[in-house]
Amino acid sequence: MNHKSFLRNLILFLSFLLISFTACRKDDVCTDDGTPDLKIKFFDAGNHATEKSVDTLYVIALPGQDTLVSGETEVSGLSIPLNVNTNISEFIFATQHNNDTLIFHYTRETVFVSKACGYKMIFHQLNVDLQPDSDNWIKQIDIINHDVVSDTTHLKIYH
Amino acid sequence: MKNNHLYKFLVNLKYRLNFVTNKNIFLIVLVLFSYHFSAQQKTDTIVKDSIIKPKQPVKIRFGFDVGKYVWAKLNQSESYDFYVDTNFYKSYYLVLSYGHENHFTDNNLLNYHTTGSYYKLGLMYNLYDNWLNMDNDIDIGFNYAYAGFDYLLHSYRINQPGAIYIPEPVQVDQSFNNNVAQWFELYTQIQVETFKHVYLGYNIGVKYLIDYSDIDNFTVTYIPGFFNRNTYSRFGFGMQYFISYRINF
Repeated sequence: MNHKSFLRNLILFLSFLLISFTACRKDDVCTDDGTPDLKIKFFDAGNHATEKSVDTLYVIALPGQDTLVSGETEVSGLSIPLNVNTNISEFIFATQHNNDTLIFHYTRETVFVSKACGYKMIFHQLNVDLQPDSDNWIKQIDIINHDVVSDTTHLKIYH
Repeated sequence: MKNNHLYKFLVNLKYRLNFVTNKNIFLIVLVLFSYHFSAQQKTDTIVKDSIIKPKQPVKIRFGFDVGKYVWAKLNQSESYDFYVDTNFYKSYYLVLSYGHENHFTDNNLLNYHTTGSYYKLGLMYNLYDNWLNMDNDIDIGFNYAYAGFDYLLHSYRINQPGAIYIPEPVQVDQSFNNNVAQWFELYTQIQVETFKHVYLGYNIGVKYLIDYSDIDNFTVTYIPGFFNRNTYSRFGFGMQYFISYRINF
């Protein structure tokens, strides 16, 4: 077998390998971070140092009334996506018998991540208003991180 | 008007395509059984050739990437790729390519136009021992490629997994100009003389990106001549269908 025909067979084999690799090529799927969620933890209103789960929790996003959490029991904390289209997000946090409305205010910043992940948004100057009613089940809210840039806890809710 | 000529040419070609396919299959079968042929060649070499082979003519081949052109046309844009090759020594070829692309990308996250040109310079080697007056190629080749290109980002959508408020597209119409990229290509290629001096060819190749521009607040996504860049890998793959015309001097 001469050198040319050996090469020829080798090339044919390599081409075959190449085609098989091409066929199984992975798509460019995002594996980096997207827009961070707002992370909330629940604490005891009587003793601020101890965590306290909510027995049954409903979370509804306004104004679309999309349900984020539907009657989950023993909730110690949760993550909710903020509205990237406006500087305001409204949620109803409800227990079995009591609805409280929370309004989040923030400023937005767009950050480019990568080709697969595109642009993400981070949030600054986070503030929250608890709409007062006759009987709020949420007693107090502490913002421990005004910048929502990563998945650390941003908010403590005392009840 | 130019396009009209090309269209007629392509239609004409379509009727001959069956013949081409047969010829291609024949070529592939030839390769598969090359062990047998090489055995024959051994006995050939024992008998010394008394005839002095005529000096190989200088051949220059002009090619056009049909696949790229048609694909772009189908997507309402304009892309083309020309190349020229010449056998400077035995079965070794010098290959020079030039291409221009206008490519539109629209996915969930980004909506943008890429416009730019590329040059490729490479070496190619024909592995195929032709019979008598046949003149076909089974080539392997290596290219260095350089591209310069601009992006026009029309709009983007914020990437928010598990969004409740669906992110609306944000209009920006921002351009990111004067980007460059360089890469190497290793490819294998078949070229068949379908009718006198006219070749049909097909190649597949693997590409390795050496270098590309850093862009503020954006990145190199689509590269003319390279296709889409993968975020997590420097490798790319490509294939081409082309027509070429060869002049022998």
